[in-house]
Amino acid sequence: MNKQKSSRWMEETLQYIKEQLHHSYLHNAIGAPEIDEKRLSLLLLPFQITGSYSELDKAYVSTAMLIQTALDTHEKVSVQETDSLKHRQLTVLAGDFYSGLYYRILAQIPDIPLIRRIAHAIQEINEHKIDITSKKLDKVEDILFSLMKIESAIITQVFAHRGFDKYISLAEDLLVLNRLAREKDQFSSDEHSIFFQQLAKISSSAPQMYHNDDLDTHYNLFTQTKNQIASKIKELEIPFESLKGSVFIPFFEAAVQPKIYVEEG
Amino acid sequence: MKLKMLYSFLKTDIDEIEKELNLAIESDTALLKDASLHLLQAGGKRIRPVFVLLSAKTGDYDIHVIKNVAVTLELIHMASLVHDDVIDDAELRRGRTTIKAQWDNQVAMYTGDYMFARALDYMTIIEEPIAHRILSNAIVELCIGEIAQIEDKYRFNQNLRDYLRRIKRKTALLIAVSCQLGAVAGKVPEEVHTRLYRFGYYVGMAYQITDDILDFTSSEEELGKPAGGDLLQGNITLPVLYALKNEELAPKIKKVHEYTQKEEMSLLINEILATDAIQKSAQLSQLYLKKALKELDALPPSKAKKSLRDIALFIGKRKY
Repeated sequence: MNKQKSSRWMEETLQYIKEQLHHSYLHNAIGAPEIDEKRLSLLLLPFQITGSYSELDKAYVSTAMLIQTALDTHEKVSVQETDSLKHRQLTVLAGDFYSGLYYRILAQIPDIPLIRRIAHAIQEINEHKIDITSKKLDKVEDILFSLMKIESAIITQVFAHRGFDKYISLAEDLLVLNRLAREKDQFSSDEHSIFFQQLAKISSSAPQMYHNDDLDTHYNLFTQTKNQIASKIKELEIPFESLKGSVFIPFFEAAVQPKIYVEEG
Repeated sequence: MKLKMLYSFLKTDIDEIEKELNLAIESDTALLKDASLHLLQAGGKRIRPVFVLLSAKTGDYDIHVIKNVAVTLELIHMASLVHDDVIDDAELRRGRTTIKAQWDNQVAMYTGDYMFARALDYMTIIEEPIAHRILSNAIVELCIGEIAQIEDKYRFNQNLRDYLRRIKRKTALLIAVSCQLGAVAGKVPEEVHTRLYRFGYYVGMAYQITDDILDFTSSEEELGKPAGGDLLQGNITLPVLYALKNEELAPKIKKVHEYTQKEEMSLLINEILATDAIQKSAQLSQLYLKKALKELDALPPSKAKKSLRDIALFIGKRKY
């Protein structure tokens, strides 16, 4: 793989996505949308390995990023309504606008099967989002499964559509690992963590009571996922230089055994 | 006469669409299904599916194909209503609590996104690429229109062109593409589906202008909200634009803000009603209606054509 070529693909794709998302009034009022570059680096991984990336591929990758940005933007609509009404209004509309862009790009190609695949992914993601935020899941595996679907359903569909099925399982694990790292950061800085909230629901009859075991559970899942990723990298014979995307950061960071214990419930 | 009477011959097919809408919102996630059903059961005129069916009647009409377009457009409309209620911070819609009020903003956002995805899923049953180009452009334009509506709030120096462009995107476009996509699904020639697009566009423009007039001329009881609510929220509609031409009245209108008192608003509404703003707005609405009817002239006589004509006239005459 040519390193220069792959960073050019990254830059060009990022530029194209930014151009698509550009709306001067929206960006002045609520800020430019955050583009998840970790996810973008993962989307580009199979192309880097195969050494080929066409204009059509760029459209597929950008589409996946646009819809992800749309869903991420809607995540920012607050439940507590702490932001101003205008900010909330524009955040809703920005997400709707970005998701319209994904459809428009694929309609122009046209690629109706991919429109269908992504529509299925969006449905699945929102079903899992509702499940994980509104009900008590029965097992830790169910929490992990929901998080995995929320994080990876779109990439999975794009990879499958492009014939990159063998990378799907690796993508799922990498995105779950990144999500687990994020959940831990949120929990550690006293922000809301849906993962730890669900663990609390499973391990305690009283909601919002965290247990020492929850951090252990997180550590075990994190380590287990890292091991899975390591064996998949080996199995797929992915060259070391391809593991430099930002999505691999949590994979290379050493997992820290929990030492800080929160008060027992 | 009730609107439904104008297309009673479509009853079986409209029932079929209603059934399909119920199937479309099926989900293993109980809360998602409950929230979607909550909105679906609130009813609505289903005017977009009606336009789809009537336009499709100008070509090869197969309800098993056409219904997918009708369901798509109604789901997109429903998804936008769920998100609109978050935008407007609305507690009630069609006399029922909104999803955001019954559950919360997050559930409303997820439900809207889910419905939008379901809509596109249905649309992919239609394989004509042109249908997707038409719909996707309309969706993007619709969003841009809603953003412009917020940008233009309390902006009293806007002109007629700003207003017309905004209501095109906000209302007319979805009616126009309902007509056009029905015809595309019915495999009519381009000349016919673009004609039906224009018909829907003109009807939609007339509809929204009438809506904006009614906001001033209807009672609070008829509207379900205080008269002049649009102006109070900063939406500069056509009657306001015409009233702003009155030099005496303009400074008073420009002072309106979201906390303007009810009594003050009532006085201002009466002053606006005393100008020729309503009359001039009605004239423009009639002009659009005339243009809509003219588009139908070239179509061969049929029951569907008569219904499209009657619906357009009904919209022109509606009182609330």
